Amino acid sequence: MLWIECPNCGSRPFEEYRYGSVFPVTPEATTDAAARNVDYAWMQDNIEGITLERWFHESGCRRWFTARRDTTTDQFHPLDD
Amino acid sequence: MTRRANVHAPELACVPLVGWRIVADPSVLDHVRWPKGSMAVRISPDDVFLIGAAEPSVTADAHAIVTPEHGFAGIDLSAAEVIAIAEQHIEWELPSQLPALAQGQVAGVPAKLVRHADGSALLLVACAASNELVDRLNR
Repeated sequence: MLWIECPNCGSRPFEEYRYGSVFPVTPEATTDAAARNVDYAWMQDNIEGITLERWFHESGCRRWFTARRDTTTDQFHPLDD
Repeated sequence: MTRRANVHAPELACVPLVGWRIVADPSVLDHVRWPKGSMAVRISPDDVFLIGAAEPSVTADAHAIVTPEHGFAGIDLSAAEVIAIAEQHIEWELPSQLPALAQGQVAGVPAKLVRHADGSALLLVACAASNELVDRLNR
């Protein structure tokens, strides 16, 4: 069972959450606004390792929060790790 | 033939609640004094569900939103009922320090458990899901 730490409610089973998305990182070299939007929306990196993600505690406080997750182990890490 | 006695287990009853929803700056909500006799449920840092009070004013935050809230129903639980429900229907650990608010799934239904200092609790659930929760708890 995967447990996720909600900053408001504490540790809860993953069924209580909804996955948002990874934080898309647009390369600095891309400066054109439209190109950045395309990159933000469509160019997902599918990182193997630690990613920064958005999660929604749907069954609890109903708030979005940011978490760091290792996609290879499914382990969650504190943001200030 | 074996005769069986009819045993009526006490069934949990869920009643709709009327209150106020207050969304304001967390630092302001930290210092608001709620009316005497009311119950303030701090759903998240910037969000309070206030039961048993007239319309509150949150003057310290000019952008505070105060609106009537009819979306919750509540079940009053004794301390023993809380323990029994936790054993059968709650996966996560109840807060050890009381009073406390715990939020999460109860019998698979999103709910909020407002535990009082004596261990009794008010189980809050969205009105739309209240029948389902009561059915599951009474099974």
